[in-house]
Amino acid sequence: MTIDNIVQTGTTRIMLVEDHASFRQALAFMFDREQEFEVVGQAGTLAEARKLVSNSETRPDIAVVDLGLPDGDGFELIAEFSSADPRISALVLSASLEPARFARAVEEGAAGVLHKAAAIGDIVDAVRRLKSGEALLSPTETIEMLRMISRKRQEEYEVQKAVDKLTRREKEVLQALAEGLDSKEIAEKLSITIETERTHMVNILNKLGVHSRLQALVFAARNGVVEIR
Amino acid sequence: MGEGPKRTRLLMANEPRAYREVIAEAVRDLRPDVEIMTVEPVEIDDSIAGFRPDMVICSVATETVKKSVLVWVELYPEFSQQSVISVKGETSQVEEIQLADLLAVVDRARQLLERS
Repeated sequence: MTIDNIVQTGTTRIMLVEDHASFRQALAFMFDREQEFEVVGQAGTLAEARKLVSNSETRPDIAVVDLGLPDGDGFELIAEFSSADPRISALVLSASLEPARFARAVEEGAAGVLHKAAAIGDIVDAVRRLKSGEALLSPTETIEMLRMISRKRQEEYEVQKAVDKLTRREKEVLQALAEGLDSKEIAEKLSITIETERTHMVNILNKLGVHSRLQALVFAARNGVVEIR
Repeated sequence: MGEGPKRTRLLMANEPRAYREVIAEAVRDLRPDVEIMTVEPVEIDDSIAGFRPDMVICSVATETVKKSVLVWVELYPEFSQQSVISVKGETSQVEEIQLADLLAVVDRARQLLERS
């Protein structure tokens, strides 16, 4: 079906990308029973969705996309939709509560984001609004989301810079700390003196920009520098 | 005049809300003889006392559900693909449950009600 056909028929062509089949099928049923909607394709994985979009017969006006799919993140898909056909609007419907994930979706080109705690009416309303060309996010909301993702990237960059400064020995000291060892035990384990262990620890605190062993441990665990067994 | 056949009662208390409402809507259309109530998961035990369902769809089956409801489904517990179906105490796990599977369980609950 071409765009001209869509205008003529007036139906909104919907693709559902969601790995929870019973929900996806129920949602498809719900849209299909309304004259104004037509579900042109259902996908449970990124691979299935890519196949649908590559076929003009199953190319949608609106793609309702879950972010957590078995073979990857829905983010990739949103960007691919825009490249395949900029007329496709992606509406994210996600169980995630992380604003950063919603922000990332917007950055990739999502026209709207909804949490799965949304009511059925909100989902239908969002699809209708997108079809009519209405923006679901105000320019302020969009800018705020893009700023958030930019801040997050900067933070990740700073963390990586700090981690990269750590020497192999300093990482071993942190790993020993993660195993619950105190200064004396760490020194024994690494065959160094307590004074050397303390010097390493001071250097670690400086490099990570933290003020205590506990803070260093939290930083290291949170950023994958150590393994907590 | 005698009472008509008893309607199967389905209590839906699963999360998230979109799943609950959308699946309830589909079941309402496809099984119009089933009486459906949707509630928040925290209200599940109180609703069982008031609504007396023949079947419950939830994300986590409480002790009350397990003890007092003949047919229940734990749908996508912790968002996993492994759902649990229990019919008259017989429990089975279903990977990637389909809408048709849920409808089949609703039909099973109705059969049990008719026989009782």
